[in-house]
Amino acid sequence: MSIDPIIFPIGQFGGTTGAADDPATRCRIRLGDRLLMLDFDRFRTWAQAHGSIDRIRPVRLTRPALVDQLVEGGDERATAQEAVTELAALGLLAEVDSADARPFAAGHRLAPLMLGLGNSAVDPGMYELGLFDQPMIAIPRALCSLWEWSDRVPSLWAGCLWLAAVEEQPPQQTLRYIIEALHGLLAANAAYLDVVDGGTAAP
Amino acid sequence: MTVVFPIGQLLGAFHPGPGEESAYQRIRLGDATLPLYGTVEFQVWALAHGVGSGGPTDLDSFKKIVTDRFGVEADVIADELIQAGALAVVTDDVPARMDFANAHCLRPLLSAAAPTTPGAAPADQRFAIAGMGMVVATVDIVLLDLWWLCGAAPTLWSACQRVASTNGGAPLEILDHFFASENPLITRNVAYLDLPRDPAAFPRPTAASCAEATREA
Repeated sequence: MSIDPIIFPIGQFGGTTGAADDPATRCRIRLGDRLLMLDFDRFRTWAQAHGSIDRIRPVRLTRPALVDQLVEGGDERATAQEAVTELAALGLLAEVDSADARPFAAGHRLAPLMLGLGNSAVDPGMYELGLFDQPMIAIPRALCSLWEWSDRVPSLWAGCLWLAAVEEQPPQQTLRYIIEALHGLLAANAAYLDVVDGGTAAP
Repeated sequence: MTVVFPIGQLLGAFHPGPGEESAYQRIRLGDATLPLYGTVEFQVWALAHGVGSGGPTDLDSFKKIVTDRFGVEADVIADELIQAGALAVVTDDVPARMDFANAHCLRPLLSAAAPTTPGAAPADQRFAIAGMGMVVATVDIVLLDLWWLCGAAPTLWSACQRVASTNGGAPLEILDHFFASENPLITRNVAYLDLPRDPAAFPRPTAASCAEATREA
């Protein structure tokens, strides 16, 4: 039985250009060296692909699940499908087969967006991320190791190779674990995904 | 004015076991982690983010504040952190600023930037950088774009070049703006300074992670 690929948002949000109620306002996304401008409808689709904190565990975010969420939010199904297809073509959404995620991991990198607040005195295996003295999420040690070093490694795959060596696991097993855990970081805005340096946003 | 900047990504306190006191705070400095032991070492590094003003910290004021607060020992610790590269001291001249900008990179933190003054003239516009539903810093368009574009820039200087090519102006003007007293990027922890990446050097077998720290404990 085939499983729908997981869908991830790619790029760093650079803010809006004006007021939310102004139709001329655009939302800026940096994708590697490319600077893209989205209207609010497309931006909402991209933002929804981050997942949501309360949905990290129950929802494995796939294209059908993302479209369903957009429809729940009031979009026409055809409009939601078109938006997802358009963003995927731009490289702002990536669909990843968790059984063979290496091409995605080799072409993308992770970058932190929060402060590391260290591990918990109660449960030292869990590491908190957030603002200074304000934890947002707690993540397991292995995921935190990758997060801590994500800006230093050339790609997500290189990070998985390194982490696999530290954890004494096969790299593919490490990659599967990371792919399944990524939405937890993205939904909390604790990290973002980007294309590798000098890379193109291959859909 | 000679200023001081904190360098490195905060990784947080490390507790070696359940219920045990924090052994040290960790920062990642390029391809190494640096443990900051005791309250003073960490506080000295943290205070370099800003001591009341909205911008880079004057070295003399910084040293006075840390010694007033923690005693003469803090002055020695500040010098040790400078030696370790966790604090950078930059003199007030163009070559020193450019050397600093070529020897360090800037990395963004948080997200969700939106104009706080939509409709204002471009020079008067301000933008919020936020996290966890709170506005953490308010910046002008130059600093906003430096924050936005630095993530793909190998060095602070190349980020300044990219902002200049996108918005107009000269890279040195962008860098001067980064050094200006109204710059809250570092003070408000919405960006951090680090050493430039060297992909050819990765992986480094000596790179310590929280996984390794836990294992050693």
